[in-house]
Order: sequence, then C-alpha cells, then structure tokens
Amino acid sequence: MPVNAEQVTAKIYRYDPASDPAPRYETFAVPFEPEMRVLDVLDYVAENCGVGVGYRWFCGIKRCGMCGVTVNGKPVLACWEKASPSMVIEPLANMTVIRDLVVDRNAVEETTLDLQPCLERKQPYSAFPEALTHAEVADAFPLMTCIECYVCTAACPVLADAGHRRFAGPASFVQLAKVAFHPKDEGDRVALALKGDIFACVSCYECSNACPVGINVLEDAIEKLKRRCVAHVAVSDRETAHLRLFVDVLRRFGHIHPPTLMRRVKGIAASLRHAVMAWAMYRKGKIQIRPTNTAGAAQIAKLIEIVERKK
Amino acid sequence: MAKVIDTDVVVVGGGAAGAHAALQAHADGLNVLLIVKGFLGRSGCSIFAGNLQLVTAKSPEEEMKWLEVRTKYSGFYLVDQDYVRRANRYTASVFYPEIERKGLYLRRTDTGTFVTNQGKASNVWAPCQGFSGVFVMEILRKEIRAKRIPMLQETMATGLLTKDGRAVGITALDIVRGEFIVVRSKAVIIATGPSNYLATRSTATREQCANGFAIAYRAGIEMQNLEVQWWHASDIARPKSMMRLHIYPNPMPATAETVRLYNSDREMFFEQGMYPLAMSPYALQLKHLYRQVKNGKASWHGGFYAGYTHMDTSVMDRYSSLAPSLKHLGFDISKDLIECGITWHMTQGGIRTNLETMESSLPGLYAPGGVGSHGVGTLSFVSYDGSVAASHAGVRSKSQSHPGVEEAQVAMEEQRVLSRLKTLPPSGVRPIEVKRRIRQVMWEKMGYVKNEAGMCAALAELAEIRERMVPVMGLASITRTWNYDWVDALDVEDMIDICEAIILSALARRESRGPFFREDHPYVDNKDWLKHTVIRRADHGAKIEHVPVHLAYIKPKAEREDFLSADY
Amino acid sequence: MKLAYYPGCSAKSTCAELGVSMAAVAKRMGIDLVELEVAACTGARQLRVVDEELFLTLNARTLALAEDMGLDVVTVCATCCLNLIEVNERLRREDSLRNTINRHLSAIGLRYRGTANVRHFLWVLLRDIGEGALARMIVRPLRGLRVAPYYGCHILRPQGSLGFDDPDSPTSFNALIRVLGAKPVAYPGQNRCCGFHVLMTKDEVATKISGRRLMEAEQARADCIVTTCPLCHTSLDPYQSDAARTSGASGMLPILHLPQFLGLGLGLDPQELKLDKHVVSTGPVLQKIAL
Repeated sequence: MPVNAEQVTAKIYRYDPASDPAPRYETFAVPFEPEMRVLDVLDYVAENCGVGVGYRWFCGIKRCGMCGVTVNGKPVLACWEKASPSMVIEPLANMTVIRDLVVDRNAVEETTLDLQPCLERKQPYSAFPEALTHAEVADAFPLMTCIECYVCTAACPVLADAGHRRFAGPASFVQLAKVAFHPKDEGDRVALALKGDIFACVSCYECSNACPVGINVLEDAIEKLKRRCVAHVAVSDRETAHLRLFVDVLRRFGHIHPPTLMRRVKGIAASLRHAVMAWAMYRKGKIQIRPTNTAGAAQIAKLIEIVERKK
Repeated sequence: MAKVIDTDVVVVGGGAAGAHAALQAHADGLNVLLIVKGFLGRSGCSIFAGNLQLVTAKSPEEEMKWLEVRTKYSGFYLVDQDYVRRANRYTASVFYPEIERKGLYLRRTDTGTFVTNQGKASNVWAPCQGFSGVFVMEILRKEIRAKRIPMLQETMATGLLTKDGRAVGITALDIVRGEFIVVRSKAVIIATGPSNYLATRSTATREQCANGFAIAYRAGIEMQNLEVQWWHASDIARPKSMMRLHIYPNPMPATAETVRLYNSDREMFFEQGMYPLAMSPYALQLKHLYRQVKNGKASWHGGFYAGYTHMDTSVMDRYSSLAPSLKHLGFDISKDLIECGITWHMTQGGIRTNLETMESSLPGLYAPGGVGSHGVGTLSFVSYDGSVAASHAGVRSKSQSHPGVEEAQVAMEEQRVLSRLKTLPPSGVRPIEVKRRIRQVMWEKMGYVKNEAGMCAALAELAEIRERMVPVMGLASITRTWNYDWVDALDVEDMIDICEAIILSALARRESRGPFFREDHPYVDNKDWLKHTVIRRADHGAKIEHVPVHLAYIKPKAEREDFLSADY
Repeated sequence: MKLAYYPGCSAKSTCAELGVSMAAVAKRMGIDLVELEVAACTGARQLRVVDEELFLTLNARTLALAEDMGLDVVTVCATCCLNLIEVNERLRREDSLRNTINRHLSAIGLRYRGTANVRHFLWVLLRDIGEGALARMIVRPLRGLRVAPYYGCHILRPQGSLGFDDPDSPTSFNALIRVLGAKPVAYPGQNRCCGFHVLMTKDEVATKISGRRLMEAEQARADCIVTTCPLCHTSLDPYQSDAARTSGASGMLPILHLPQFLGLGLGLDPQELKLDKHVVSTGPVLQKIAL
C-alpha cells in the first residue's frame, strides 16, 4: 500500500507505429498524493514531465469507460485503480495500439454490433410506462451498469492466449445478454451467442475479476447465455452436445468417467486420433476401462430423475 | 491535401442532442455525418445526467408546475417559457416512450411502480442514481451504429465554413491520423454541449474546451448569457482526477431524505428539502455555502462536507451508483462525511438561437442542446432540441443546393491548424501548461463570487497568456498520430477566446441571478435586468447588447430582491 | 484433524496418482480423511449450465453427507472446491431455494443444513495447520528446486466466494513452497487459465492456452509446475506435447500435484506418491533433489 510512499514510479509503454521501430518504456517518478489514481499519475506525467504520452480518458469517474490500461499485468480503468508505488503501465491487451496507451477499440465495438445488441420487439410497444416489474428484469439488471470499457475483453485468455478471434469476448457477450434477458426482447439471441462462439469460453472468471463495475460477467452474462443455448438448441447441435452428454454420463455412473465422455463427445474416430496419448495415459494408470467409483450411483440417478421429472 | 467529405447535414457533438439530431436527419432521409471530438455517448456531458425527471403534462396544473420548476429554479427567469412548455410536452409524450421502447429501464419495484423520491414521484433513475445518462447514451449509440450512420470519432471540429452569409460546412482534424478534413454541407448542427473545462475544477470531460462556442464566436455569430455559469457545490474534493464525482443534492430514490451539506465544524447548512420545488438546487446550495465561506467554515475547494449519515443509507446501496464509488474511496457513508469542493459546471448561455428552429444568427448553423443559450440542464430537453434542429436543417438541405466553399477560407484554416503542429522551442511551454494556467485564472478570478476588479484582472491575465505564452507554445512531439498535445494547442486558442467573451459578458451584467453572483451587485434586479446579454465578435473586440426577456406565463414576484435571500 | 474428503472424479481416474498421494500425505501428517465415497461429481462447469437445479441438488447432497458426519469438507480439485463453496453460499443465503432442494433430498433421506464448510487442501495446509507446524514436519527440504506454483482460476476467482488469497497477486502457494525449502519462481501465468474446460470440445483453444503457461514457466527456468487442481494437471501433463507444440515449449516440464510435492518434503517415497504415473517424466525433479 502506498500510504507512506513519497513517490510513485511509473514505467510507461511508449510506441508510435509511425516512427518507432518497436515499443519502448520510459520511467517517471511522480510525487505521491493521498487517494491518487493511476489516471492522476498519467496526468502528472503529461503535464509535468515534458513528454506527450498518449492516453485516453474523458470523465475520471468510471462512466465513459475509456481509460482502460494494463497496470502490472492486469487490465484496469486508470480512473478507478489506486496508484501503487511501482507500476508498469501498458495498453490494454487484445486490441491494436494506435499510439502509446491508446488502443483501437473499433474491432471490439464491431464484434458487439455483430451480436445485434439493440432491443428487438416483435410486439408493438404499448405506452409509457409499460407494464414491467423489477423481478422481471432480474437477469438483465446486473448487466445494465456495464460501461463497455472492454477491460474484461482485455483480460480474456481465449483471446489473449489462444488468439481465438471467432470468440466474441466477454464485453460483447454482456451487451448481448443485456438485451437477451430484457423481458420484452424477442430477438434470436441463441443464434447470436453461437455466432460469437460462446462455448469457447473457458470459465476462468478473468472477466468477472477484472470488471471495474463489479459485474460477474461469467456467471451473470456468459453462463446464463450458455444456459439459454442449451435450453433452446436442438439436441443434435454440436456445440451443446457435450453438455448433454456430460449429464448422461453423470446419470449413468454418478461420476464422470472420462473415457466414456470422451468417446461420446468426440466419437470413436476422433478419439482414435488421440490414441497415442490415450495409450500413454493407459500405461500410467490414468484410464480405467470401467468406472470404479459408482457407490452412490443409484441415489444420484434417483435425484436426477426427481429434478428432471419436475420440469 | 485535405480530405473532403460532402454531406447534407453535418452534426458536431456526440451527446444526446447530437445523437438525436443525427437520428432525426437519418430518419428524414438525409445524408448525415456525425463528428465527435471524443466518442459518441462516452465523452461530453450527457453521460453525467444522473437523475431523470418524470415530467407529466396531462393537466394544465401539471404543466404549470413543471413550467415553474424549469423557469424559476433551473432558468432563473432567463429561459423562453414557450420553449420550456414545448420541451416538457416532448419529454412526456415522446422522449420517455421512445427511449423505453428502445430498452431503457427505469428502476421499478417488484410490483412494477417506479422507484421515485418518496411521495413526490418526480425523479426516476435508469437503472440507478448517477447512471441514467450513460444508459440513455448507450442505447442511442447502439442505434446510430446499427443504422450505420456515418461518423468520425476522435475528430475535432476546428472552424466553420461560411459563404454568402450562410454556413456551408466545417473543417476538422482527425486526431487518430492527424488528417485535416473539410466537410461541405448544406447545414451545420453544432451540439457540443453546455459544459467546458475552463476552470481548475470543472465537471466537463477532458475534451470539452469550448470548441463549439469558439467556432461560432469566431464566425461572428451571436452568443447569449455566457456569464450565467452553473457550479456544482458538492463534488468530491479529491483525488483530483475524480472531481467530477457528484454528490447529488437532488431528491433521492425511495426516500424523502436528501443529502446534507456540513461546514468545517460539522454543522449542517443545506439540504434540498429546504426548497421543495427546487429539484436541482445548485444555485441555492451555493448561496448557503457562500455564507459558510464568509464565516471561515468552508472554502471553495474543500473544508466542507456532504453526508448521508442522517438517513438509512441502504437506499444508496440499492438505488445509487454512488454508493460503490464512495466505498471504493474508503468512505463508510453511514458514518463518514465526504469532503467536497465546487466545480465549474454547465453554462446556461451559449449560441443564441431561434427556439422554434434552433437556428443561430447565421443561417444554416443550428445550435441545439447545451451549446445553445436556452439550457436548463435536462437530457430530454436537449434531445428535443436535436430533433428540432435536424428537422429544420433537413428542410433547408432539401430546398437548397450547396454553393461551394471559399477555398481561401479553407486554406487559411488548414494553415492555422497545421501551424500548431510545432516542436517545443527552447524555454517554450507545452499547450497543456497553458491550459492549466487559463483554468487557474478562471478558477481564481471568475469563480462563483465575482466583482469588477477581479474580472478586469482576469482579462489582463488572459491577455498576457495570449501575448507571452501562446507564441512560445510547442509540442513534445510532432507526430500526427493521436497527438493530444496538438489538440491541446488548438484548444488553447478556443479557450482564451471564449473565456474573454465570458468575462466581458459578466462585466456587462450588473446584477446577480441564480448561479451568477456579483458581490459588487448583490441583488436580483427583475426590473432592469430581465435581459439577455448578447455578445458577438466585432472588428475590434466584442459588441454587447442587452435584449429583454419575454415572460410568457410566469413572472418573478419581486422587482428587486437581495440575492442571497432570493429563493431561486 | 478429521475432515470429510471429496476427491472428485479426476483423482479417481485420469489423475489416480493424485488420490493415492493425497491419502499417503494425509496419513503421514496425521490428518484423518473420511472419504465421501458415495458423493456425486460436482458438475465441473457443465452441469450448472445444463441444469442449475440439478447442480444445486447434487452438491447439496454432498454437503449434507459431510454434515451428517459432523465434518468440514476438504478437496484437492479447485473446480470442485468452487462448486461446493458456491452452492453452500447460495443455499445458506436463499431460504426458498434451500427448501426446494431439501424437498428433493428428502426422497433419499438427506437434509442440507449449511453447517459444513468447504476448503481446498492448500488452505487446510496454510490456515488450519500453519506454516510453523508444517515446517516442523519437513524432513527433506527441497533445496535448489525451482517451482512454478500454479494457482489456476477456481481457488482464486470469483474473489467474493473464495477470499483466501488475492486473485491478482496471490502469495499463499509461494509461502508453502518456501516452507518446503524450494524456490517459488515468478511467472505471469500462475493465476491464469489452463484451458481445461474446453479441452474436450475445443482442444485447439485449450492447448494454446496451456501451451502459453508451459512456456511462461520454462522462461522463468522452473524445474516443474505444481498444480492445485487435477484438471489443470490434465491440461498440462497428458496434453503437454499438444500444448507445447502451440508455444514452442519443450514438452518435458514435469507437472506435480500439490500432495506429491508436499509428500517429497515429508520424506515420502516417490513410489508412494506415484510420481512414475505421469505422462511427462518427473525424473528431472527427483534428480534435482537427489532421489
């Protein structure tokens, strides 16, 4: 905690693609002030250190959502994140750098637009105010304070580590979910979620953890959309088949027996392609032909039946 | 070579007025180009609309109530009451139904009634206090993007193109690429908002540096009531970057209580409940604060406090976006008071317009929303303005052909813009330092409390900045790529021009009214000063006239009142 | 110390060596583990998406089983740990939901009350036993061993539910490594994803993610990665050759389970810890500590 620190050291990413062969870093010492934010540090550098560091911000109070940067490896909003004594400040990941800390947000915005994040009514709007209770918007409500800062998308390993560009990313899914969960929306949101390859989400909670407004992006947006996909997509659909098969295996054994699940998800042919690995695992005792731990299977099957019958 | 774009209508500004103008022009079948210095619905003032007022216009009594709310408490009798009536009706019959249809959720209870300030049913929030403007703008942004309305973001309008006494386009700088742009259009709509970052503490966002005002003023267009400057009395004192975090003095969600202000001795000196009809009691807060400052129990930049400690703060957790922000800053609002300072907020004045059409004194140039001179600080009103401006601009565009632009004018403006892309000379100053100095002068000498000597001194200091600092101004780097130093340099010129016009207007008004306080004229003079201050640039300096205000329905009761005890 | 032990599916199958080593380590430390043999799978990330009520019901059953024994639950799987904690939290909080779930459980003669707490084995080591007591049990300090701690996701995030460590800069595992006399190496991926949850459906995504983790650990000159979750272990050990191919890692980085690593310090025999049951050889680790 920088409570007693007298200065903040900020190592700032500098890069002008028009003239710099490669990114570089410049380090600045900034006098510490109580309650100082990362944005105050950047302001100080811009105003007092004689360099024209490019950094974007508008409001300073977490409404414009435009001051996202990476601080010590974590994507944050500069206006919101408390300054720490030693900081490496870099642009947000998963977006192209325009100059220094300024990134091109256009690609993420276009991805969001591809998911058609406008409310789609099929019934005519009646009159103001329309009949609506807070309970009816319970699912959409926690997503309404999203400021589209894209910090969650910058944190996503499916984009950062896997470079899986077909994946729409958490920020865009929040916008899709927000309209999808609005009680008056009648758009085909399942098709759009699948278009954004929602099942490539790895459930790592990086998005939830990074969100500056405290939205549990994974549980309240992405997984609820996944749930809707499972509920509305034909049983034969490839994307959701794995989920159903998972429950089938669970129903049968009370546990997951990985070889059975693998064979059913991938099919015999595809499983054979992993034959070398499977053989290595088998040799090491990692594959049991039959599940061993099925003691509770009967009770578990009974509970599954009770819950499923209720529906 | 400049990039040239032809369009029917160009809209400058990405707030609610600009967004509505663009949507209306698009709906009317026009080619429209939206230019935003920041980003649509992210920069500018509209995102700061924390409260929405549920205007009703079902009966003549209700209409009169809302007319009084706007005219007296938000307009200080300087607003056009017929305009207020039209905008109120639009709010009730168009704004709310349209935006709700598009997905705005006004916070309701589990039985479906609106969460309002208890019993009074006037304020509503989407979906919580402090966030409404963000939500409204997000919906408008998505609609504009989905309709693929042409837009240039991070593009700064620098000047107005005129020919034969009419507006024929604008010039602009693409901040990302450093490219000069010429837009030829049959009509120009400037919607750059009411707030500008012209004083050390200001609610305006980073990019708001009076560019819209300056573009009009430099073109000789009439400006009005520039001196009527609102201040927020309760924005948090620190950290500096968070000075825009506003402790709303307005009626609050699900409670009859409102926030209280305390002096340095922790004595309460203000709450909105003292003036039930003043739903935006900003001018009144300041009068009370002034007494505290006079008594040495507060200062303008701190030493006084806002607090929720008298009330059940669970309503804040449930219904306000402020609660998490204050918690994040370490405040336990059930126990702690929050240190505040005042901030330069919206200017009631701006470009003088015909309120039937939003057209300025220059044909073809429209000024809807806060950049106009009729502002009452309401999101639905500026939305109305945008639609009106676009409708009239559309009629104009359809009936006229483009006369072409004056090439010499374009060349001169391009030269002016490019001349600022200049390396810092030895012992020179960077534009950000000049901006800081201008803001300091305005903060110290054009604060809430004004007098003739202070204002004359401010003029002298601005003249000195113009003569001494501006000529040695240069940039840390002359890259054309996203060079905000360059933008700052262009801002400096606009800021000085407008700050001077503000001071001249303030010197000319010899009374006090609403948020405008002259310590050397501490009375409200409804007999001689129910007048608009109209200023325009003339050959040598500025020309000021005073034009009587037309009071259609509501009139002040007293001819002359002591300023500090007047209840508006 | 007596705890209800929830091994999860992996420790009984793909990571059988984890189950065996955990039993051996508990025995050596004098921890009495009562295995919840009849418990169901916690549902990984799939069940909560397919059928949330079933997810709650099956995990409530597991918790009720532990409650009936009057014991808290310990698990060696991060994802299971999170699932059990989340269900526990939610059912403790929401009365009507708890009643619904209990109606289901009554059919098999069980009742969920919310009296058992759930912890990961790592937290038991550091919070219940403590660094000091642990240090006294270490008979074979693993000096010179450079260890990459792998926290992964589900024992750190979501922070609200877990709250044991700082998800952005966790330190608990590093402390444990130091207690064992080894050196924790810093690498950016320690608290990031292993890709497991899409391994079966989108292995090209999963292996690129795990490949990055391997590369990061190798660049930090780690001798091995130690995992707190068998799912991470599966991404990093049996799938290591696929993963390494995506990032240029060596494909030869030993991946140890937390109990195996601890067991070495406790003086257990590598055989007892089933260190020979990995796809990637753990030999270099044993060599380094001269075993």
